[in-house]
Amino acid sequence: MEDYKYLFKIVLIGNAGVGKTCLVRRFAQGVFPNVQGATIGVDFMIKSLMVNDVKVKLQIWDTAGQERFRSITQSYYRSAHCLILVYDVFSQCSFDSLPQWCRDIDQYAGAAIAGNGRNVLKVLVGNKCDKDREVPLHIAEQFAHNNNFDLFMETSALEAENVEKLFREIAEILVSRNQESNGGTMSRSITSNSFNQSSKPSNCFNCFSN
Amino acid sequence: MLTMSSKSLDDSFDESLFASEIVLERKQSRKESSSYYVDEYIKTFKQDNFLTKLKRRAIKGELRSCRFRSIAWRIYLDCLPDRSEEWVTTTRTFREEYQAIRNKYDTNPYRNNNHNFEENNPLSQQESSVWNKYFQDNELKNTITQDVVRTFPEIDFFQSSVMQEMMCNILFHFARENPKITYKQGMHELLAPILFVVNSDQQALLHAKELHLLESADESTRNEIEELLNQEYLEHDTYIMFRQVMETVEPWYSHEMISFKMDSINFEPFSTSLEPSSCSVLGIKLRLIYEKILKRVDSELFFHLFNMQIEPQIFGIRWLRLLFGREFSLQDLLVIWDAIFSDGISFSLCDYIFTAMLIVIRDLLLSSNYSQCMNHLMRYPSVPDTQYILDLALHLRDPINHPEPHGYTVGVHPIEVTPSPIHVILPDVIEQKPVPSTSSSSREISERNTDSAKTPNRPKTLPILQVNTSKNQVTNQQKSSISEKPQSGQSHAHQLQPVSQRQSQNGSSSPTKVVDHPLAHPLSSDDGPSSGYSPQLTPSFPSVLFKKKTQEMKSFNKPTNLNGKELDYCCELLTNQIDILQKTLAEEELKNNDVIFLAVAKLKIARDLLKGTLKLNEID
Repeated sequence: MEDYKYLFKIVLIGNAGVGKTCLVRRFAQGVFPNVQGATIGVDFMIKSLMVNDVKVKLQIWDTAGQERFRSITQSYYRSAHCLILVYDVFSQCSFDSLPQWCRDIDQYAGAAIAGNGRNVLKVLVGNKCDKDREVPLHIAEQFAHNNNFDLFMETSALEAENVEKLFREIAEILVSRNQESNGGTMSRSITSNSFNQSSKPSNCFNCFSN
Repeated sequence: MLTMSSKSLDDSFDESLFASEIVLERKQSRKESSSYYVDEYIKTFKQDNFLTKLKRRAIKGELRSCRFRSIAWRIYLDCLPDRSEEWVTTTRTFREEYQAIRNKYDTNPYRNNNHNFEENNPLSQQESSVWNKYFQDNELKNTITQDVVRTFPEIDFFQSSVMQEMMCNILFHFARENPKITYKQGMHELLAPILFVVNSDQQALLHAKELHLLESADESTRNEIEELLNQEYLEHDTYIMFRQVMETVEPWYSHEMISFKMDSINFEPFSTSLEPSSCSVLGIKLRLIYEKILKRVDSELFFHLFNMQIEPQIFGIRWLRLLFGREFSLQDLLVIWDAIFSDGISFSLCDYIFTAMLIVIRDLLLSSNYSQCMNHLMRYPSVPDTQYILDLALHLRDPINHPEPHGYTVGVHPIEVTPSPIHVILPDVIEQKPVPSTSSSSREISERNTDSAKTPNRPKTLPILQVNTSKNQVTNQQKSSISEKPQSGQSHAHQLQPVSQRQSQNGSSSPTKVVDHPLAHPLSSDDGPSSGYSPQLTPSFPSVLFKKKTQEMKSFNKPTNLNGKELDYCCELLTNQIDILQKTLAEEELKNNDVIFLAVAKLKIARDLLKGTLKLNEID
């Protein structure tokens, strides 16, 4: 048995090249690769952290920018506790793609998550804020507000700005949500080693697609 | 290298000594290569039956230092005909074709003389507008460039702007020529090694020319080599090869979903879902590799991954789309590609390489939890012997013609390839003292039985593609592979007598027992019991279902008072009826398939207990 209290699944999405992998590697490994190869399919990383003296394990699924939801296996987002939608503050184009990503989230993740009886935490992240920006902060904030994001943050994987903070806040929100939903008593129902156990049984191997 | 050595001469005495050694070495190797360059070419391509030899060399990893690897690849990939007399003309035709493609998409609106200013203006949205095309092209180019500049970041060759530009051009032209698939992430990493190989051969030729190594060749051979490896056409030749690779791999990049009913393919008799599902071509392919190959050759590993719900798509998309490009170092990757390409344009060897890669790290995986497993699969550990994986892949596909390679160890993790056990004979020791799972016990088993397992008394693995054919799930690529190897698979399966059957005929008096694991038994129409599949049973079989069953079975634990004759009759009757049930059920699309298959599996346990090939304490 592993020694963590909670395990949360986080899925990163967003256009190719906005720095999703760099963000994850900065957080999970503390490094910033000078050149990071394109993610093909999906990548996976684990990082544990302490939230209020409780050990929380984050399972981070880093998806390929070009894949979009249609080919990401359903079970990734079905059982996701948090979706991080990333754009590049230096690239208006990546920001302009956000509405499409939001539609994808609603279409593919919405129903599945509702079926699980819980809400996915939606987070918007503007990465590369160390660069000259094309996307003004207030515009992005407005967008996050209008599209019901639970959290918005600008980060820099290069300068490690807000990266730790981003994941820590996500972990804190998820922990407090989970405590509330369990009436204060912490249960391990959500913390199973296998991420699908908390969802309905049909949600496994066979309905897996891509 | 030359610049390196001259630099070190200035530095210190020691280093200059070292440098002079290098120079000496170079001189020696120059001498050697002088006699070899042309010889190598002639030996490789100009002998009778060279094609067979060339293919054999590829799977043995003997092209590692070949200076004509790109030509070998062109032959494998059908970019060159088998008759070497036609090579030069074919090559020229292809180059002209690519040149025409380049010209076709060379749209520079600034050079446009069209006086229709409705069309010829930068804001025009008309389809026919050169400007509109120009901006669309730029968008595509930006997407491609974004990936190209981060190709193999650790290798200098790919950081050169000349090479990056060439890659962008090739990918751009491919995308425009194939608007349906266009550019997809990952293609750049299929292109890169090809460019690398073509360039290496061209550089080797330049080097040989500098050293006047071609002078020993007759004129026609010299012209042929110079034409095939003409530096001017690096981009052209690479494009043609890349296009051929994409021809096969393209369906793996398709996002198109194919809807199919899971149980009609009968992936998994104990599946938890019978809902129709949709899958990409690659998704189906990966599932079939799991179900039709891995499950057969290493059911323990299969169920380990299955129980942890590590679907093959998670790591397999990258493995296959990049033809294992991220799993090996470039030099090793080229050896893997030698084998894949030489094996046939369908690249069907990939399925077995995929499985072999899993088996090679099986102990690591079996002793890992979910996250650790994911890490090993996402960041495949460096395997010191690539050849071993190839040998194992060939063995898995065709154990009769390819003997099982000898095991070796990787780092601290002992790599033992369970002798791809279709059957495992459990020694009495194990029966008396059930060892807790882990790999050590299975290793013990396999060590004791390597001899028996080595003999090819198991059926040839059913090629995954045959299953597809029967279910109308065939892609072009798969079609070609079927036609390529029509003899493989079932024919062998029929020739071979299943071990379990033989054992039962001999009675149960033998000191060792063959265990036919009912739950691991694939109950599909494709491989019913007649295929002789009886996977290994390890003392700690991971299935939860199985434990439940054992408890139920305990209530039947009474000595039987049937005599031998009646017993035999019962067993035979049961076997026959189970067969009928299985075959009929496999064809039906029943709502409660799982329940029924489970019941059949239980009947099998009952039969095996009656037969004496299974004991109650073994079920645990």
